[in-house]
Amino acid sequence: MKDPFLHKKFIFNDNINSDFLFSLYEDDFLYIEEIFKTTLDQLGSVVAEVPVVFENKNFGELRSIIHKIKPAFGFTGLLKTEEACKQFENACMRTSNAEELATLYRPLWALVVESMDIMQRQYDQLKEFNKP
Amino acid sequence: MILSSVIVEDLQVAADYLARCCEKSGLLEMKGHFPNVEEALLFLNQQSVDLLFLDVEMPGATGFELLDRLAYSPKVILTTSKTEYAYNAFEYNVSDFLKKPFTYQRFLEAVQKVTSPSQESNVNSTATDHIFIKTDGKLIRLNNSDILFIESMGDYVKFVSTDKKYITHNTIKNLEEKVNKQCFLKTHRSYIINVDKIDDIRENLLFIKGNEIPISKAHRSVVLKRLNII
Repeated sequence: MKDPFLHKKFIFNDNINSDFLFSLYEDDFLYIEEIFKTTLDQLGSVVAEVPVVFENKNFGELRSIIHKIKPAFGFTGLLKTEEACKQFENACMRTSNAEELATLYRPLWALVVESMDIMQRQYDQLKEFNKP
Repeated sequence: MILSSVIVEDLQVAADYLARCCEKSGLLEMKGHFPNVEEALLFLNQQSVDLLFLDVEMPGATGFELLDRLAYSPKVILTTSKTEYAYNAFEYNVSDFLKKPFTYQRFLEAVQKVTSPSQESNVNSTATDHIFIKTDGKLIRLNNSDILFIESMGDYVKFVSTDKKYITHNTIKNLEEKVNKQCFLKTHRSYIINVDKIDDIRENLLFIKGNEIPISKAHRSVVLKRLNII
């Protein structure tokens, strides 16, 4: 049987909502590690497209990519990033004004990059934590 | 009752999580996961399933387009991160709407909606030998055995019987759910036919008492499966 207090032993990054993670995966840290790995594996190449699409001012495609990566941040407990993606997606649907979208894009991109970095570090720490 | 199900989802982590929820529930047999509509249709038009977990926005085509092109109507649980699709979900008569990411408890509630006895009784209610249609301000009883086929006319449908035609305000999509599935079969997005009335089939056309009914590519394999070909 799993120790019900096991999760107390692993401290998640402040940007990750651990209560939300436990509501999805309970305290199955091996599975949480797997979730982070799957997310990193798929998101890496998708996120790399973001600045290219933005530079091409293809805001329809940009909205589509942001829509795709949004729930992945949710699955890894990065709820503020998920919410920021949602706000940007809504802005893309509301306006096609390139200047307005560029203003909103810059802080979003910084947050996405930071979140990917947090995700990677968290995955490395989980891998270490789960070592037999 | 174990339901056969398929996941159509382009985000791997969401598909994996969903597959795990399905396995944990013990209520579902997972037949496959497809990352886009085209791959899903290839499978689903060969092998029918009871339940679809369907994302909406995917590369190429949307989940709603898949439902438009599918030759039959399985139960559908939409899985999306965009609540704005709730209205379309209602229009497509989906069983539930899961906003990603969702908890296992929420997943279970959605599945139980599909497997509950009330859902089964809805299906059974279609197993009757007649239907009533509203036309010319009254309800008219049509015996299944009198109906040759039903044809879409935009927001209306035409019921063609052995001796009469009735036009009523309805859609093929809606009727597909309501008619007795043992008697009737959708052959095309605009046609539902009475299987017992088929005279012959030539290529992509089916003939009923001199009427030519098209068989769409998407429906062809399901139509052929229903015929007693020896």
